[in-house]
Amino acid sequence: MLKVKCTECGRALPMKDTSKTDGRILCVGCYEKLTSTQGIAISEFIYQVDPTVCARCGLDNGSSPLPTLASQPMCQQCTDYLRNRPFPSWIKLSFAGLIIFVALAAAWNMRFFLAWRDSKAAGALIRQDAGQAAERMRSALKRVPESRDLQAFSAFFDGVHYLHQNRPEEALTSLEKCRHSLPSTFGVDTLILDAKAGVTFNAKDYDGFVVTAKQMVSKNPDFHYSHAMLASAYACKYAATNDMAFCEHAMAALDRARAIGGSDPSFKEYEQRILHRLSTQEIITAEEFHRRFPNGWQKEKE
Amino acid sequence: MIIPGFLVSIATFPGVIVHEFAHMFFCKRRGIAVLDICFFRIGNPAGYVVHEEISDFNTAFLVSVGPFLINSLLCIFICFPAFIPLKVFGLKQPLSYVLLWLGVSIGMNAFPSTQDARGLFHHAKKAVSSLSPLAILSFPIVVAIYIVNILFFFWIDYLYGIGIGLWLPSLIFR
Repeated sequence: MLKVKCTECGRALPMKDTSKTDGRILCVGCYEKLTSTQGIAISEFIYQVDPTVCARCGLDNGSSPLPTLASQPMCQQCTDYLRNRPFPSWIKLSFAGLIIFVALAAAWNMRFFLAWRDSKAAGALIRQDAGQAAERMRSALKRVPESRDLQAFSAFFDGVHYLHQNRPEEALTSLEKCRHSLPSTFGVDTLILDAKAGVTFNAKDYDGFVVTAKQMVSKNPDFHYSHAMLASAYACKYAATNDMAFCEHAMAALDRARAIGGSDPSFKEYEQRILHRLSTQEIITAEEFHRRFPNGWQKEKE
Repeated sequence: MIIPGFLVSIATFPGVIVHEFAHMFFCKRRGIAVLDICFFRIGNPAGYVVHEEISDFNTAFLVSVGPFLINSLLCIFICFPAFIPLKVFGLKQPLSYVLLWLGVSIGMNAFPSTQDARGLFHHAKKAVSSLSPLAILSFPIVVAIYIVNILFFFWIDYLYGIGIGLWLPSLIFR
């Protein structure tokens, strides 16, 4: 520790207990005396820095000056501490708590991520495998049953799956559930009409079938399938009543369907069934038709 | 809406703490002595780190910009579990809102202060003579920090927090 003499009183004092003011070294007592005569505010008493005393812990290094850190004399221990200052315990605990909280929240919310993944997979599968798609969407709904979106999507995917399986009654029930929950781009109304057409056909309600098919045409006038459905309905009416007017209506509707989408392979198959119905006046299901004519049907071959 | 800064600091105190934590973390990583630190207080600034003079540019860059990286990453990390239930499924759970508050609080305190920018500018000026790409990049960063600090008035910090917490994951979870 360095000692210096007060310029005013001449006392030898530790350097760190004095101030250097206007070229004079002053102790506190003399400084206070001077401030009362010279009007210097007491707050201007700035303690001198003793280069042999650690500014942080007060370690006395004798007469040897200590190395400085940020212009302050600092012992090695304090330098090491400040260069690698530990985080306060509350910070460490808070940080650990935050990480644990977020990890637990992520684990808790994992079902949402899995449901999202299932729903995306279902969306990708719907065109290739409606059954698998419906299964994945059901799995998504199982994980997040409270999601209205998933409820609607699951009902929609089930409806599409049932339509693919030619189970119109179940399709209709499912599709009715999501009718008002999905945007019009999903075409739920069209699918409902499709399902209704199947239901009326299965119930041999051919008048109902015609009404539904007409609704389909008015809703989708540019869709060949709508006209083919109407042709199918009229063909049923013809087969059931033997009224030639229905046969003519069926042929006219079929012509419209051909004009719009005659090249569609699925339409060709549907067209064969309608023509078979008109030709034989026998109403058979699509499954029966495929069983009887696995290689397709043509009038002259029967 | 004009809300006093100290109220914003109180409402987003986790972000202030993380910001100062990040400053200190990078000081420790680079062996810079931390002379004083305040993680949070009611006042201006709401938190601070006093460290020794930094001699090399890379360290100065890390210490200045580090909180931006740490706060931003933590914001994404914390908001992530809340994103799917909230934005994908539209489910309003209390847990999601707690996560969102934490995440956005931390995200909106990501930006370096003008004092950080001044320090970075000071070091970048010295380092640019060595044609360090990071030093050259620092100039637009400093300008951006000043602009952003002005735009705090228009809640850009809040928008940033929301943006990285909720908009960024929406690019993945469509």
